Amino acid sequence: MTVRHDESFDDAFDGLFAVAERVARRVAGPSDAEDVAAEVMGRAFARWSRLKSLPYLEAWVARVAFNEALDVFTRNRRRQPAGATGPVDRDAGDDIAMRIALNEALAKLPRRQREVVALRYLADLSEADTATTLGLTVGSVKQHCRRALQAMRERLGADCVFELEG
Amino acid sequence: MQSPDRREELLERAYRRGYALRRRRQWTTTLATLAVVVIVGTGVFAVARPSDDHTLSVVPTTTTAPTTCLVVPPVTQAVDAPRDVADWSIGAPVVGSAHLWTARSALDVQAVHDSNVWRLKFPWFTRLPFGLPQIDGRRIDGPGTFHSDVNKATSPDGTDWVASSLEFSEPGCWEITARYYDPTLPLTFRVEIGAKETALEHALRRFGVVVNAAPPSAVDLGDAKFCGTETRSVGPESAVNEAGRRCFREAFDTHRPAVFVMVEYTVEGDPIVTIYRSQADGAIDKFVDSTQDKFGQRDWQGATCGRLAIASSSSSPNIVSYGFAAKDCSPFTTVSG
Repeated sequence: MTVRHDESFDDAFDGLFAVAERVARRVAGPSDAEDVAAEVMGRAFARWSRLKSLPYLEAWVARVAFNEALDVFTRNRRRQPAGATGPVDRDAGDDIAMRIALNEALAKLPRRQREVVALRYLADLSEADTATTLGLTVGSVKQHCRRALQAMRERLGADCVFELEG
Repeated sequence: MQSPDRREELLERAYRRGYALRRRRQWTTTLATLAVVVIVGTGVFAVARPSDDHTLSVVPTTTTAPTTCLVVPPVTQAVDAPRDVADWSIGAPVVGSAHLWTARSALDVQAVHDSNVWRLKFPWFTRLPFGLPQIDGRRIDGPGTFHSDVNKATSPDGTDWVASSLEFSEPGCWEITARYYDPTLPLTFRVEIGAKETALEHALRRFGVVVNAAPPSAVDLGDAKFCGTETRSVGPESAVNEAGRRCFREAFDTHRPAVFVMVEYTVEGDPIVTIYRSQADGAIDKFVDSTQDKFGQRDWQGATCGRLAIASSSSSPNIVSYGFAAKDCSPFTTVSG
């Protein structure tokens, strides 16, 4: 049995799904990205009558995807036995280690800095869109960004933050 | 993007999830933290089934009334709870363990006085295998009788849960014990029945503030006027409470005690509650409750400010500090409950 469709949601689905999946891939990893994105799109449809006219719809999706992906990532880490080592190749292991470090460093940032970094670098929003989404000026976004990246560089080293920016 | 078939599959999945969330929202209140409790009150989805009644008489005791009745078991955030429990609570914090759980917010709901008894609608979640818990109650600070009526209920998404009606013969401090599946793991807590709640306390509870654990200087209304609350969030939910702001500013201008509450949500959805109190000496006390912010300091901070900066207008109603920028503040310090 198929469910009733909404034409405007059908039209927006591909673009928004891609945003959610991109954020989820960077935060939770490729194996969970599709599931996270599908969950986010479900939530978007639940509020679609109000969301569809928002000027910062993509930003909304990115924020929800970031939260959901971080939850999934945290849950997965908890389920992993301490000291467990599996037959992962070195590149994959490095990637996971990098993501763990980045997520932990992100979580330690003050709330506003964390929001700005998530929207700018995980969702690839412009400074202007980030400012609109958070109700800040572009100048404030730049300032929060600079401070956040500085704090993360101090915690992680320049190479790791380059991964985030790149 | 995915293949057309996969794309259709994901789109279908999003629709199904979206419709399920919509249905869930239709029968809940706007406050997720109170949703489960209110649902029980409606009883709309209760499935007809023989109820399971228990009555317990309590022998009068000489125990003196404790200054604080509410005793809450360890609270589990939804992200740390089993997935089925978190889904049932719609992401709100829960208490319980193993097979028996309830919503944390249910402990804050006040019983209704009706026909000489106090009634409290109370939700439970029993994990598979589904069943009804046995619920007992005893009054801690005097005599009283307790009665419970327990029924199976089913959410629109097919989740089974337990709707109970708890009846207390007297107001006072009551201890509730529920048992299910493993009788050695009871769920026990204490609630104040028939307690008078101020408008400020009521408002704070709505935002998940555990009033009994908060600093009295922040949450005791005393003779202050309660001017209302304002919620900030990204998106259309934000609303400036102009009447509340005016009330507070006038109180400040005339050196009358008043309280105004502002709530903003973190990106994770955790409320950060700020309480502004204007004092008779013209000062402003500002309290910030970050105990619910998973990535915050999780404490109460307080500061005293000398003046209130007034903005003349705002082109951006999302800027919560409009009209309420407290200035000349002392450094924030931790305030204990």
